Amino acid sequence: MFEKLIKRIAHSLLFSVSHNFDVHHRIIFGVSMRWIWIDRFTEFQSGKKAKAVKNLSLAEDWCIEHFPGFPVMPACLLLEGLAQTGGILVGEANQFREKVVLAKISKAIFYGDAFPGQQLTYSAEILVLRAEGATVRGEIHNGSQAIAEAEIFFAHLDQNMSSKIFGNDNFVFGGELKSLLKMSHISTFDSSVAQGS
Amino acid sequence: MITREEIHSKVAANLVEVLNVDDDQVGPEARLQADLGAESIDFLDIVFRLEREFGIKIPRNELFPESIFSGDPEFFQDDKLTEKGLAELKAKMPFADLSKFEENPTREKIGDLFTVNAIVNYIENKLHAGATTA
Repeated sequence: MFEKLIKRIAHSLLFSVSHNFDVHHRIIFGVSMRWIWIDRFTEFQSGKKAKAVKNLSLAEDWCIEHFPGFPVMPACLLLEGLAQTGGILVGEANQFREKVVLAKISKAIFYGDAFPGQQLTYSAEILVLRAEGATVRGEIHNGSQAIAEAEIFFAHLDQNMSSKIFGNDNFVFGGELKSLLKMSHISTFDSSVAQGS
Repeated sequence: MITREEIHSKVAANLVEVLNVDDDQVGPEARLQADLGAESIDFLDIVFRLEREFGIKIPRNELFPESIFSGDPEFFQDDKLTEKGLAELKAKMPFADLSKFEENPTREKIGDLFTVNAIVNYIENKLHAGATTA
């Protein structure tokens, strides 16, 4: 059953994995690609909850196609930002030792659209944290306006199984995702009290 | 003490949410995989939710034991469970009804043992054991 789980995860990774493979591929060929859907953490309580902001710009690629003349942020990218907020929260809880991958979005409710010019706030809270993975509840707001809420289930790729498939390198937190915390200039690793920007 | 009906009701409500099925699909005999479409990742999700719902700890491999799926040649011969495999299954899943399964214990039928009733039995045992030791 666990092998099936690993295979299933490997084929359905949304958070970090596919883009990291892509990043490595593109770096090899001299083209860099960025897949960061939050700009900065503003709060971070280790193992508990985090907040991040994302400024939406009309210069972003999705505005071209989604939709011509009516740019509205795709719902899947809204969830990606929330998954990155929650995924880094879960990863940091174990000092980034685990390969944290998005396994399932158990629930997602959308209340409104997000448009260029807005600043979104992603709030993520850990509901369950176990050796096998974690459940995170998250909300997205534009100011006081609720945009969406979701419950996201993250799996820890088992060290032994995943090392056979993916190697020992922690490809999830090897690059920019982990750096995001440092770039936010907030204390994280021993913070028990929320720290504002 | 919570009644069996109440346990079933809470288990069913969680399965409806996890597996996106209708209320009338989660009867006691419903099989998680064959009837409700559960996939491997859902089993972890179910464990996490049951822990929160009932305030219990469900150790890894206790409700959904992995050893029996590991393909150990001691447990299987020609895709049929050996006596040792059957003993392992009984030991690991005392909360499952094996009576029908024992007639033809094939590997592909193991998934059918994971029913709503099996989960209710497991939770009921767990809660009673907790009450006894408290």
